[in-house]
Amino acid sequence: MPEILFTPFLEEEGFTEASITDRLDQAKAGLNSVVQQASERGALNENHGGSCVVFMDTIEQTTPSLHQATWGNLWEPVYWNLTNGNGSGDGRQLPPPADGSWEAIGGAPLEINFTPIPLLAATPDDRFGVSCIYVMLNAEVRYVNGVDHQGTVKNVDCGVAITVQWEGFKDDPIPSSQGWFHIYQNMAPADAAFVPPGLVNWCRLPERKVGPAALQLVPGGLNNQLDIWHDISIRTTIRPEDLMRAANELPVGPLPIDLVGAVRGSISLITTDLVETTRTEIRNANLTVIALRGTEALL
Amino acid sequence: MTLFDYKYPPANPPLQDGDAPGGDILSEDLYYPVPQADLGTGSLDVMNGFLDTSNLEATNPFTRQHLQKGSQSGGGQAGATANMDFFKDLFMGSSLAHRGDEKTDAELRGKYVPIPGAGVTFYLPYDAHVLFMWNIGWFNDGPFGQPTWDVTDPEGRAGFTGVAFYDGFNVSQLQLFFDNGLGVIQDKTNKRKCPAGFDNFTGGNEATHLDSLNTARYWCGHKLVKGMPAGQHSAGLRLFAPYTSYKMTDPQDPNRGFGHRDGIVQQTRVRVRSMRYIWFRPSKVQL
Repeated sequence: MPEILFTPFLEEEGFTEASITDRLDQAKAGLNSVVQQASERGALNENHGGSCVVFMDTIEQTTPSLHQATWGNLWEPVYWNLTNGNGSGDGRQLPPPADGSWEAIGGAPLEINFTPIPLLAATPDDRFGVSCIYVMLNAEVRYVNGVDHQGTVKNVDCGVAITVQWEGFKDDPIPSSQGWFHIYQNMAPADAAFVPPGLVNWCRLPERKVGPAALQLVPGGLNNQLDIWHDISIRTTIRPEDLMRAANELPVGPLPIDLVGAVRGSISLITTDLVETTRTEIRNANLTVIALRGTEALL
Repeated sequence: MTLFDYKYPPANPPLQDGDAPGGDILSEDLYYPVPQADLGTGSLDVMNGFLDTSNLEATNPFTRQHLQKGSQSGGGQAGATANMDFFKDLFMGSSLAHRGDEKTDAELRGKYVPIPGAGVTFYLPYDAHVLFMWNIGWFNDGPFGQPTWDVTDPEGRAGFTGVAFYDGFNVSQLQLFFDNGLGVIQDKTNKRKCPAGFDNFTGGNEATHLDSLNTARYWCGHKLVKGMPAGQHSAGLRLFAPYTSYKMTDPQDPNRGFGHRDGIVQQTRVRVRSMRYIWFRPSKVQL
């Protein structure tokens, strides 16, 4: 139906109950079923209708947090490196799921939970679609240091990796968590069966690393503190293909992951067989999650 | 509002065929500004601002093109590229005093200096969530003390003695302010430090060169302020660099000076900087 229609009175047409009722009913029908053509462009302002914001929140860590990991301790946030011919890490992560263990930044997790949001879920009954979730993370790395168990000072063998992770949910029908997932570079079709991403051609898009400053390592000790005050800033999105890839990543086989229900800033400590224990202090951090309507809004 | 109907439904009395309906009855169906409780339900006056979602045709909704610019979000930015130097005179007699008694925001607030190009003022037409984002690079010429393994831990952790040269006395610190500091100043989160840039300050020698390669810092920060009220606002980065007459000494030998200096951070150089803001009209009900 286009705009409101109104049949004009004809010349010498009588003003009868029927004719008047017909015109009034036409007007009523139009006003009770207003279509988009009935309004001019720009007819609506902030006082009409809803918001493009589906979800928006932020969390800030104001108390310094200490993170520490030791090579081989799987329960600690150890960043698993590939090993080169000499048995030393070269900085690249192993393929998932054997790509290290991560934990949330902060003593209190730097994590934002929300009612799980579907991506690209616009339907006639639910006319907002969130095409992606925008995430911003800042963290201040005060120092990175480690223990050199072999007595060879070598800075390159320790560091800290920081990234953004999201928690996937299956809508069945009550959302149930399927775990925390990374955001990978789009090097394979999103709906392809998960294949361990090789050695070099997959990477976590939002991952950032910081190494120590000079003279950080001391044989047998972990007590030197050289403040480097490095800011890590991450801006990334969680996309529908990330949900597809995460579903394929699950070891039990493809399962639908329909929703994103939490986002966190995550940390993993880079250790090697040369620098077994790495420690860092995250002085402060803040995380923001923004989900906007990606399709036309229903007002 | 439920679907609207006429004050005098035309199919019912008093409008009947053969009658001569009075002008008041027809007029009140066309326009009848009814009492508040019945707003928009009695006449074609419903068009005067009383239509709502119940009046929309379900399968043919409005599009974004019907929205006025700024009705959902807005934003702006400022920036500058020219290097800018902030000298010691701006911060005379000031110290961060980090060793266990870090000064409060209230004490430090007045000592920060705004950075041109890293601040914005703007007007919010309605209450909104405001996202600030900024980029800045900076470094200083503070003396970089080589750490010794028994230096004092600035925050009192066990196992440290001595003086930490690189914390509190020779850093240039940036902090986000908004609404001229009258709003909430985050004491920890929206603050970044740049370590000292003069290298080789060891063994009683004066610093020999400026090592901005390793000690310059950048900060691409952000802050989300939820529910900022409508009206005029400001936000910007400000700089503080401690400058005192503190005399640095060797932590191994307090009687041995590292060279008398009448200040710690003589100069801070700010490089490219910018400040952006985006506001979003918040949802009344979040999913």
